[in-house]
Formats: sequence, C-alpha cells, structure tokens
Amino acid sequence: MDKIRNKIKILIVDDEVEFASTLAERLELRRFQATSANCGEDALACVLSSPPHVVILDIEIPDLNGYEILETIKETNPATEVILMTGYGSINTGIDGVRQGAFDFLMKPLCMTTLLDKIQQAWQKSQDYNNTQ
Amino acid sequence: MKDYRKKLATILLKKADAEADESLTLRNRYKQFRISLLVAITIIAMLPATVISILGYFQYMVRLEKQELYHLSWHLNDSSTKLNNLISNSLQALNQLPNSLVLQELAQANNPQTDAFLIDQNGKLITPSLSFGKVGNIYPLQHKDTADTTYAEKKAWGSGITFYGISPLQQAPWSLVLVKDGPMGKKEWSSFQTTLLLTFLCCFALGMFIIFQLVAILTNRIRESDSKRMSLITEATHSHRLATIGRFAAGVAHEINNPLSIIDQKAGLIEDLVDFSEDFPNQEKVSLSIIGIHEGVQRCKIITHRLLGFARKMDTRIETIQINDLLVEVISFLDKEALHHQIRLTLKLNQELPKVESDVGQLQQIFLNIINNGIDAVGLDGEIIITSKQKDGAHVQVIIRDSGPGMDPETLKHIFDPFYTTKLTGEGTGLGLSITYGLVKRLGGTIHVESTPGHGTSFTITIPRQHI
Repeated sequence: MDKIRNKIKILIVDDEVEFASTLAERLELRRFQATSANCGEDALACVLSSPPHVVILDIEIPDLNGYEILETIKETNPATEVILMTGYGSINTGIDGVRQGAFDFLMKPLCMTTLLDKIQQAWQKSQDYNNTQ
Repeated sequence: MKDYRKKLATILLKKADAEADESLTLRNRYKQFRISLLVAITIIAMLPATVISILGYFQYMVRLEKQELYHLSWHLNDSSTKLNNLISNSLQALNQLPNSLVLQELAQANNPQTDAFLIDQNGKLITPSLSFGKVGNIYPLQHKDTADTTYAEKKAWGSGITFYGISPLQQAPWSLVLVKDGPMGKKEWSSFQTTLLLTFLCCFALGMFIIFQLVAILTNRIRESDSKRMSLITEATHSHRLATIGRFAAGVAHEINNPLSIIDQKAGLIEDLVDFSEDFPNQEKVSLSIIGIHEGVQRCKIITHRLLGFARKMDTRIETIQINDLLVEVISFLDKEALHHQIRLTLKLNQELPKVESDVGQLQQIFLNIINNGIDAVGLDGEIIITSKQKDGAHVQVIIRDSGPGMDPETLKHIFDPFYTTKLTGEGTGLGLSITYGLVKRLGGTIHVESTPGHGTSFTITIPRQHI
C-alpha cells in the first residue's frame, strides 16, 4: 500500500485554512500527494490543472456551493472520486451528496483510520473507472 | 454569610407573598365577576317578573271594582223596579215604604251585605241606614244630578272605598240609595293579597336559588376554561422555548465543530510527527497526551452531534428513517430512569423492518411519551417490551407493552382526552397522550390501546411507510 500511496493524488477543500493544511500535511506524512484549497474557485483550478484521484470536500464553502463543486468535478473528471465532509452533522446532507455522485460522506471531526479506509476505497474505484474506459 | 442568608430569605418571602397576592387577586376577580353576573341575571329575570306581578295586581283590582259597580247598578235597577212596582200596585205601600224592614229585605234578598235606604230631595234620610244612622240624618255625599238618573259610583268614605248606587223613584219624590263595601275591604281580598305575596316570595326565592346555582356553574366553567387556556399557553410557550434553545444549541454546536476539527487535526499531526520520528524525546508521554486530546475531542464531538440532532428534531422534516434505530436512540434516553425504577426495557426488533418516510422528531416524541407513561405506570420493578414489526406492505407497527397495573374500561375510554389524568395534581398535565395521539394522526398513523386491570397495558402504533 505504501508504494501505491505516493501515486495517489488528494485534494483537500475546506475554508478553514488550518484544518485543510494540517490534514494535507498528515496525509503527506503518510506518503500521499496531498494539496489543499480554501475556496471553490481554487479547488476547481486545482482539479483542472492537475486532476486528483480523490477530493475531500467540505460542503459548506463560502464562495461556491459544495454540491456545485461536486457536480463540476464529476463532469470534468469522472474518474475523480469525491469524499464529502460537514460540520453540520446531518446524515441527510451526506445522502443527498451520494445521490449526486459523491463516493462517501464523513462527519467532522474526522477519524483518521476511517478517512484512510475511504481514500483507499475511493482510489480503487477511480482506478476501476480508468481501467474500464 | 448571615447577611446573604437573610437577603435570600427576604427575597423568597417576597416572592411567596407576591404569588399569594396574585392568587388572591385572581380569586377576587372571579368573586367580583360572580357578583356582577348574579346582579345582572337577577335584574334581567326578576325585574320584569316583579313589574308584571304589580301590574297584574292593579289590573285585577280595577277589574274587580268594575265588576262590583256593574253588580251594584244591576242590583239598583232591580230594586228600584221592584219598589216602583210595589208603589204603583198600592198607594198603601208608599206609606209603608219608610218601614226599613221592607227595604232591608229587598236589598238583602239581593245581597246580604248591602245597605239600602231612601232619601228625599234635600238629602234627608227617610229610612234608617246602616251606614248613615237614623231617619232625619243628612246623607253626606254629593252625587251628580240625582233627579232622574240611576247610576253607581265609587267613593272614598271612612277608612275604605265604598260603592254607592242611587236611583230616583218614579212614584215618589225620593231616591233609593244602595251602599256596598268595596271588594278591597273584604276578607277574600286580603287572603288574595296574602296568597299573591306568598306566591311571589316563593317564586322569588326559587328564582334566586336557580340563578345562584346557574351563576356558580357558569363561573366554574369559565374558571376551568381559563385554567385550561393558561396551561395550553404555558405548554406552547414551553415548546417554543425548547425550539429556540434547540436552534441556539445547533448554532453553537456548528460553530464549535470547526475549531474542534482543527484541534483534532493539529493533535493528529503532532501524533504523526512523534510516531514517524524514531528518537523523539519523551515519545511515550507525548503520545499519551495526544490520546488525551483525542478523547476530549471525541467527547465534544458526541455532544455537538447530539445537540445538532436535537435541534433538527424541533422542525417538521420528513426523512427516510429506520424505526429500529430510532427506538434504540429513545431507549438510550430512558435507560437510566428505567434502571432507577428497576424496570427492564426489552427491545424485540424485526431486523428486516423496512425504512419509513416520516418525521424523526415527532416519532421520537411519540415513543418517548408512551414509554415514559409506561415507566410511570409500572412504578417499581417491572418490564416494558418494545416490539417492532411489519404490519403489511404499507405499514410498520411498534407495540409497547408494560407490566403495569393496567386500566379499567372507564379510564381507557378517556385515555386520549386532553387534560385527562390519573396522576396526582401537579404530576401530570393530562396532555402527554393527547399530544401523542395528535402526532400519530399528523403522521398519518393510528394508535390503539389495550388494557386489562392487573395485566398491563399495550399501545400499538401503526405508521405508514410513505408519508401522506
């Protein structure tokens, strides 16, 4: 897994700069290629310039709606999997997200073990998609 | 410290006084209302009755007098005709006429209480009279022209009203006078007055009694409805306050969740740095501290998520939910209380129960109310069994059965009535099950209760899978 990890590109989108950068640093420590963005526009720019395998996306982003970002990502890069997260703690938000194409949904504060599991699964799905194309 | 206690005692005393004053004012208000109502109804009901009685009394009196005058006129005509006949038959009779016996017989043949006598043109008595004395006395009353008219009239004489009839005789220069006491001076009239007065007083007393009872019933009804309204307002204010607190708590929880995530991530980063470096000084101590931070964050997370969940339940919101999960959540709220009462809460859940579209908050309130009621009913040492099952393709059922004392058919009949409670005053509002009933109906479901005294109670709640 460790060998694969440095191939996995992850983008973390959260308006809380400290949260996004710290999570990116922790994932880098685990050998992932992690970058962070703090607004919707930056996130979409990152996705277009260097498409990530997995996006960890906070639904409550001030400039753009989380669902809109999700939709744009899925349209431009269908192979990219999106894991949603929210501090609002409603399971319905997650269900709506999954219906719109998100891979899964996590509630803040995140549990690292769960997150790593989800990243791996999402990457796997992304690879499967690429292989079928 | 003593000063503080004194102050506290004074405040408490003032508060108690204020409450007592308030209840006194309220009692006085009802008392005043009762008196006003009593006076108003008495005036409305009794005044016309009194006026009608008085009018009737006088009308009856006038009618009696008219009748009396009519009788007297008839009597006078009859008597004068007889006298005229007597005189025309024999002139002898004219000489005998002043003999009062003839006259008295004549008069008394018609009416024993009538005084009959003759007067000449100057008003001198020709025959003795019961009312005016012996022959030769002057008849004191003046009538209209008495020359040739027969008539009767009412005149005040002595202590009462007396009726007089006067008729000039055709065969002699005299007039026949009949005198009769008015009906008001008679025994019959005074007994009529007594009867009327007694009847009136009895009716008045009866009327007052009925009015008094009516006013008491009305005031009590109004007081009851006032207190019901007050408790409804209190209930509404309470739920509004709960909703406000809920929303406020949600806002706080949401705001806290973000910094909490940062704390969690920063602690995680430190943990990672420690774990990934081979010779970190005091590695074990730092790791233990990080675990402490993680545990703290975890506890905060549980609290914020619970607050968010609580706030969501305040609004009506239809979601797809698993009733089994909801029941487990409800039980987790109540297990401490059940444990305290030594009551076993047993869940018998159908693991293949389909999900339903319904309002989580309202369903939670329904189950909470019924299980809470069950705990109160069981009291101490018993069991509450909660069963979930699929009724048919379109409905799921939750059955809550307790091992309490059960209910008699009369209580069962009123169980969902608002304000009906078997609990002691102050312990239950009597609204819990009525609200529950309303909530179940609002969700398009039904609630059914079965109970036998001594064998516990069972509530069956049926919820449609699709929200209507």
